[in-house]
Amino acid sequence: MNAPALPPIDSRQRLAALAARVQRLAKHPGDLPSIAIAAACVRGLARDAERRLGLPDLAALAMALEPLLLQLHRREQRCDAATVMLLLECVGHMGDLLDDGVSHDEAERRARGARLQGRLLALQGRADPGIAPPTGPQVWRVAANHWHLSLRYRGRLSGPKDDPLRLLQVLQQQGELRAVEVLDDALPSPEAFDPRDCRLGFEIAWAAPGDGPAVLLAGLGSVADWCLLPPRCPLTDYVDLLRRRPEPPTRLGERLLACASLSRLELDYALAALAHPCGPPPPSAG
Amino acid sequence: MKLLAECRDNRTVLRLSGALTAAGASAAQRQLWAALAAAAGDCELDLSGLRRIDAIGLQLLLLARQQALRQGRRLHLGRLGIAVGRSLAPCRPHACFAAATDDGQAA
Repeated sequence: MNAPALPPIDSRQRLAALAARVQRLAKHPGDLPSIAIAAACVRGLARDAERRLGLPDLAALAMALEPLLLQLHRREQRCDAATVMLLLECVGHMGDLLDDGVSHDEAERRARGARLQGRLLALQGRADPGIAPPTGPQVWRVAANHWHLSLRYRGRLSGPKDDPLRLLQVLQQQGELRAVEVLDDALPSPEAFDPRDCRLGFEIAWAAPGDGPAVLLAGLGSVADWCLLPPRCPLTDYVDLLRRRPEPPTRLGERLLACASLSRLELDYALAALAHPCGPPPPSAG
Repeated sequence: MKLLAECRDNRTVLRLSGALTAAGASAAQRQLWAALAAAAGDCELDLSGLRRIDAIGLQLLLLARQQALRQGRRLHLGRLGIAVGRSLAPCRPHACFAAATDDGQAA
């Protein structure tokens, strides 16, 4: 596919405004001003995509999205968690289409767009035979192209080889250490604590080739709980991480943002999925 | 580890030297807590004389920061020696300390 013209800033501003309004809907479902502004943003995006940017996929998705927003505005649809999550997915995919490079696979990206359109139309009661309904499991993969390592030390280290600072040095030697966030949330009060125990936590963004990381970390099992998420892994893996860790999800989420392992949109979706466990299974993007 | 406290401009500078590691963590904690209890105003850690630090040492410094907050004062991270700076560099220690202080204040 030929690279499209660089989107002018107003398209990105529209998308940012749309994302902000949809995120507001996640907190205030049915907020009419947000829906109205979102619809206006989508209409503008559809026009830009079709006339100026030459992005037919983006135009098609925006045109499928606008009627749903109008239905929401007219109260013909319930603005429930499932709907908001679908909106968030659409916004995420629109961002990918504008960036034109987040998705590695053109076919995968088109399939994701088609699936989203199919779901939008199905929700509006307008099944389109030209658009295949979603088939099989759908997976929304995060945009981050680095490994994410989440570590929680749980007590006495058996020696210098277990020292987290040494591990960081090894990671630095064997790849690119992109971000390290140190968490001291689990430190007990000093009176009830043996200072020789290590209770630090680390969130680490690390770019490294191949399957080496898992081998590298295999020895950590006895001194730390660790979780290694590969590049472009399903967003649900991060939802699981947020669910399993003891820190409040919003607080841990900010650390994942600081590592650039999740984007703001991905984090909002993950938090929404955590808050609505009975909602649809997290999402569906390419 | 050795600790020297020096009052300067309404703040107390805590100069650490030697090694701040798991091996001497208990003694180091006692010294730090005593220095914090005796300090006037906010405190600053000067690690330029420290030769070695490990994760337990870093954890002790973060605990000291929490302890200072409980006492209603701030504990800032000041100068680092070359070796300690190299060991802590991946953790961005100054940002880590500042963020932790902000969190503590927010709480």
